[in-house]
Amino acid sequence: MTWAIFHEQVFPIRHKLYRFALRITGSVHEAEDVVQEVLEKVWKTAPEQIDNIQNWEAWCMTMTRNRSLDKTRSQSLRRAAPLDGVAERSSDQATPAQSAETRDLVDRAKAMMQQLPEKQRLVMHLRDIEEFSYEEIAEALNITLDQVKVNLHRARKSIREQMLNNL
Amino acid sequence: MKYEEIQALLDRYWEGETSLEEERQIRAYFNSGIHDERLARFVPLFRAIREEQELQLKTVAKAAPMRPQLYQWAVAASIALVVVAGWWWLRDQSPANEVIANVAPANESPQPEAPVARAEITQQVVVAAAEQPRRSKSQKAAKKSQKTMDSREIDPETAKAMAEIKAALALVSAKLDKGRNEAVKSAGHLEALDKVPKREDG
Repeated sequence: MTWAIFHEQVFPIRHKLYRFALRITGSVHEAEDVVQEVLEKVWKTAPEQIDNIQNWEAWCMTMTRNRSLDKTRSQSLRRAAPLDGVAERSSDQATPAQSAETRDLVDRAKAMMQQLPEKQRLVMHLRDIEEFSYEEIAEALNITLDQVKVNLHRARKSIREQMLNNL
Repeated sequence: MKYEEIQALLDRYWEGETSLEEERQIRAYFNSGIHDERLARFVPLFRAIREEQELQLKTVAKAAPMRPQLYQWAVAASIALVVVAGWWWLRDQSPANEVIANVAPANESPQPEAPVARAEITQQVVVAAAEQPRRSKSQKAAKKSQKTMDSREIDPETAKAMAEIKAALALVSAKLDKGRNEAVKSAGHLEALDKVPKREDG
């Protein structure tokens, strides 16, 4: 790994990696650890392997996903756990005009996304939060284009129904 | 954007048929603060998405490895400092100074029997080592006495070496000062940046 590649292609996407890890683990601290481990692993990538990597972002996202899932499963974290620390951050950013009710609705919308089945949750995250193309999602999650479309459709449909019924 | 337009976009969004650009338009609409009341129930979703997009890793320094060039310079500077300091200390403490000083004059004596083809430095060292035992005890004692006195004075070679070491240390010091100044300057920029949001808030 050269400093130039790391500095220009890997380090700038650290926030994406963090958000993705946070989506999977549901824990700020776990997500920070995952990003740290992924960046260290990328930094130690063997020179002969570097030439084979075409899309650093997709490659890093795949590593982040795998590491996050390992961490989540090994520590038996609850998948649907609320994003600790996120609600607190959002409260800090709330403007005076934003009512407590609106704040609560936004947090509930976040919880809905977090409670989706794993594949739907990750596909919707990469599409709506990170603005990935379908091809990029398929590469990062190692699934087919059709699976991307089906899971995105199901995820949005589920969110829509919950918003119509509950909010 | 008119209600009918955004409603049509939303219908396609739920089906997963919108492009990335159309999805950006939808998010912009629901985060603009101006929306049709009939769509109010979907505002929290797109506000939540916007907030999630703005979420950033706070521990940047923790994730960033040290720049290799800086790391190498730091290691090189540390090694250089240790070597120079160690050499300087040993030079003052070790009695070997006198032995080295005793050998030096022998190098200057003519050696007609030495083969010309040999390397000059090697030849001088060998000859100097051979000459040493031949000296009488009185000569050695006199020489030792003289060198003990001379060691308190600074000969030209020592003065030259000291000057070089001082120059090297001055260079290292200057580099360290430069790095420190850069750090202080950067800290100043960061403090200035910190003040910007406060002004806006005020």
